[in-house]
Amino acid sequence: MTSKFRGWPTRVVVTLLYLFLLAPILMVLVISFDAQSTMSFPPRGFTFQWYERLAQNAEFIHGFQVSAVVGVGVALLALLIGVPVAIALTRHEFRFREVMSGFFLSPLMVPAIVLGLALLLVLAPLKITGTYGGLIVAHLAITVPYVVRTTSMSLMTMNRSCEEAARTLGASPWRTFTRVTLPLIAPGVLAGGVIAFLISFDEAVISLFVVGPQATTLPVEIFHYVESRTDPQIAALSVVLIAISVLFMVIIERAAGLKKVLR
Amino acid sequence: MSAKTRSARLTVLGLTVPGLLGLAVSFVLPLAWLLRMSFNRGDSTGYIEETFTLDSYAQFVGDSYYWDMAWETTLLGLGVTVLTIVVSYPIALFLVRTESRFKGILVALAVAPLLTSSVVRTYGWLVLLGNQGVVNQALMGAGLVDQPLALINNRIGVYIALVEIMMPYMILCLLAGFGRFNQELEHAAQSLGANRWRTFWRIVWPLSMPGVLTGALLVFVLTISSFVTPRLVGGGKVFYLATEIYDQATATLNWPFAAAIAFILLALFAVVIVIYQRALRRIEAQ
Amino acid sequence: MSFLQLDDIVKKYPGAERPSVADFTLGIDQGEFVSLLGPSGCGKTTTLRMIAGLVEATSGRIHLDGKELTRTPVHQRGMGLVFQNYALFPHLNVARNVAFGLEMRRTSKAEAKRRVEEALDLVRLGHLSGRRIKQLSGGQQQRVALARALVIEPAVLLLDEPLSNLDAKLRDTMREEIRSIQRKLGITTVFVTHDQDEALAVSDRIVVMSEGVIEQVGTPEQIYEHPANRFVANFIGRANLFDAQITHTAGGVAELDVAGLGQMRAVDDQGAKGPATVLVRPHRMQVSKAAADDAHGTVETVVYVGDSIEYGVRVGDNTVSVQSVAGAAERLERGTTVRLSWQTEDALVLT
Repeated sequence: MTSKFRGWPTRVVVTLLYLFLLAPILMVLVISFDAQSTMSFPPRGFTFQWYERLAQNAEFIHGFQVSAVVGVGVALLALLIGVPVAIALTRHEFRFREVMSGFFLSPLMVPAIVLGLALLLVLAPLKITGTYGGLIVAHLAITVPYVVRTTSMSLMTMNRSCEEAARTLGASPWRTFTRVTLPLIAPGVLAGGVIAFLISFDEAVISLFVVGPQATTLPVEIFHYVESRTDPQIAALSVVLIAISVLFMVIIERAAGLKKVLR
Repeated sequence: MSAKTRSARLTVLGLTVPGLLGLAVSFVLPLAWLLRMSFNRGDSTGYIEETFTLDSYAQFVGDSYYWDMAWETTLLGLGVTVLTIVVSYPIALFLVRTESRFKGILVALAVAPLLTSSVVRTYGWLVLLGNQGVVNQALMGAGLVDQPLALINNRIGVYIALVEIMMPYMILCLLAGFGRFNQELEHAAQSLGANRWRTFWRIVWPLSMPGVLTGALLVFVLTISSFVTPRLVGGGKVFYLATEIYDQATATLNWPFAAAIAFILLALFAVVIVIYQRALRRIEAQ
Repeated sequence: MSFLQLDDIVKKYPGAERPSVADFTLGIDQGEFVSLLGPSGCGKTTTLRMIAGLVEATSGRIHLDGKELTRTPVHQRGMGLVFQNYALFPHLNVARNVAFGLEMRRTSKAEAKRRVEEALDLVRLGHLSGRRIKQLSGGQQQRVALARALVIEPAVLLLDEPLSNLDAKLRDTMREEIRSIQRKLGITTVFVTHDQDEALAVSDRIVVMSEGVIEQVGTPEQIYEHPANRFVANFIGRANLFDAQITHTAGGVAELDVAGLGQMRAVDDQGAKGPATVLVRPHRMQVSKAAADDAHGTVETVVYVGDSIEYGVRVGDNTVSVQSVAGAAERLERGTTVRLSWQTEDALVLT
């Protein structure tokens, strides 16, 4: 009864806050079609030229390729080492399990700027900054925790007696894993891989330290571009990136349910 | 029996060794190296003397310029945290209470910005807050100001952009914390005669405290370590610990000093986390 | 040595105060249907899982057909286990679920196909072989689980509370079906349940367990008619237990002084002396109207359940249950003062 009377001030406040929250994204969306080339508002005409220019920008295209290759590499490597860890943490009892579980989440507690510098100090003497291998190593620490987490969650929620049933039916531990466990945790594993890819693809700060002329990732290219210029080409690029993120999130949602992954 | 435990141990070892090696190379070793580096002696020519000295730390502690920078960083963390709570709380409370059929979409919209790289969102703020941006155009159009306000290349812009960038994290934490919030409880308090204001401060706010605390910790930690936004919106004219680490490492090439600042930042982190755990324990004790 | 022989099996989990299963010794003959019966936490499922190999015994030995398999890994034991939650593989269809064990044994495709069909026909699911697991009802899932366990021709069929997730009516049908399949195949079966009716209905022998220990082993009749102790008497069927003092024993019959009832007689197998407990099932009790000064107690509750009337009779501090098949005409009202009695052969002295 009272809710109708007190409804509209709440609504106004919440709408304004949503506007604030979404303002930069909306802004980017609008000016990516803006006909003028300086950052200003309101837009003066509609154009696709920024998207066309984007398609010809060699640096961005190369950056995109580097980020994509590194992202896929990081995702695969993170899965390769993260999935077994998740199995150990959820399926085996051992003395330092709690410690190890904390250890595999700890990279998320270190600021990217600190980790970036630390990686620079190690990778630079080895002369692998600015290489695909160096970038993949640099992104490994911040992606493995997510793979461990999503995979552990799938392992904990799956029906354990399916594994036991397979064993009683004559499957060796390895065959039980490949024939029963893996198919059942596939959504969590896939989600972990996609998240690892997205994080690597979006990562800017660590990459700033370890990129080089041969291999510079897209976020770093964008960073340097924005540092010097601010024409709407970046907006167009941003819209493309947002579209890609949304696409991936839809994949995760379909595969595992976004809620499970977020918390 | 012992053969069995041995094989079980081998299995655990086999499963975890690749992961341990991976993190050793990409995480532990670099941090250890960083710590070692902070005890070397460096200068602005990029020369590094292998030694064992506290010079870099002394340089930081002995210079009021760096004290100011550490203070500004802490202030940024606190300010952004408080402001983020203020602007996120109404959205979170609304999302918990609403029975709208668009609830799912509204929740998705509130956290969707997380899907966008902070470089992109920072760029959006540059466009919004620039001299010819929406905000200044609107203010001048309304005749409130004659000259565009300086909203970028200074601390004001950094605060505004960071608050927006941190909002989705805070909303997520608040929503998770509201898990034990029960609207029945609120109605009960009101039916007992508490007015809305009192209901909020006596019932809703205390119940949401764990979520607020978790969100505050996360936002504080992310803010004081953020680099892209202070750098781009600050236009290289405002300095925080994170931007200084980058400058020392890439421009001045004084790696030992950059390493020392990095560990001072980590120490700040540790202090905040200890305070958070104290506060959490106190709340849970109540 | 029996076909399946368990000797002094102990399972103690690290950190637990008492063992989950203690000194469990039991021999099961080929083709026998044995139930492990007891309340939850009595160790029955742990025992079953030790037979299957899913839980490792702390000590003791398990022999199957003369061969020791205490340390044989699960996948080499060849036991067929049906889980309480069925544990069907959700990513495989019905036929692939049933075929799983044959695939692991590298059975040829043609033979596997034939045997899967046979097994599904046995549980009357031949027409659903292509279905996904999610599309099946609980009862159908149960049958698939049974077919999957049977198709590998296991030495022993292990059933872990397979009926507890079904509704009451289906449970009775499935119970009969499992028993008839078991008889048809002549397969040695160990059945875990907490439901005494289920155990009584299907078993050749019942093992009553409590707190990790065997309380009694026997046929359903032995368990029901001659429970070994108070626990078994109370757990199987409904029971009135009276405290009594044995005054005289002769020829397997004891004369007793029963609290609240006075001099009574009961069967006594053991020739016990002194204090004892007397068991009388409610439907073996007789109740009759009596004058107040001659009565044992007062009718406190009267429940009409169709075939019979159930009385609760207050005797001192206790309530005695009486199930009377007498017609409604002779029905006793609440508050009636009554005498209680029984035939000597219907009462049993427990130690």
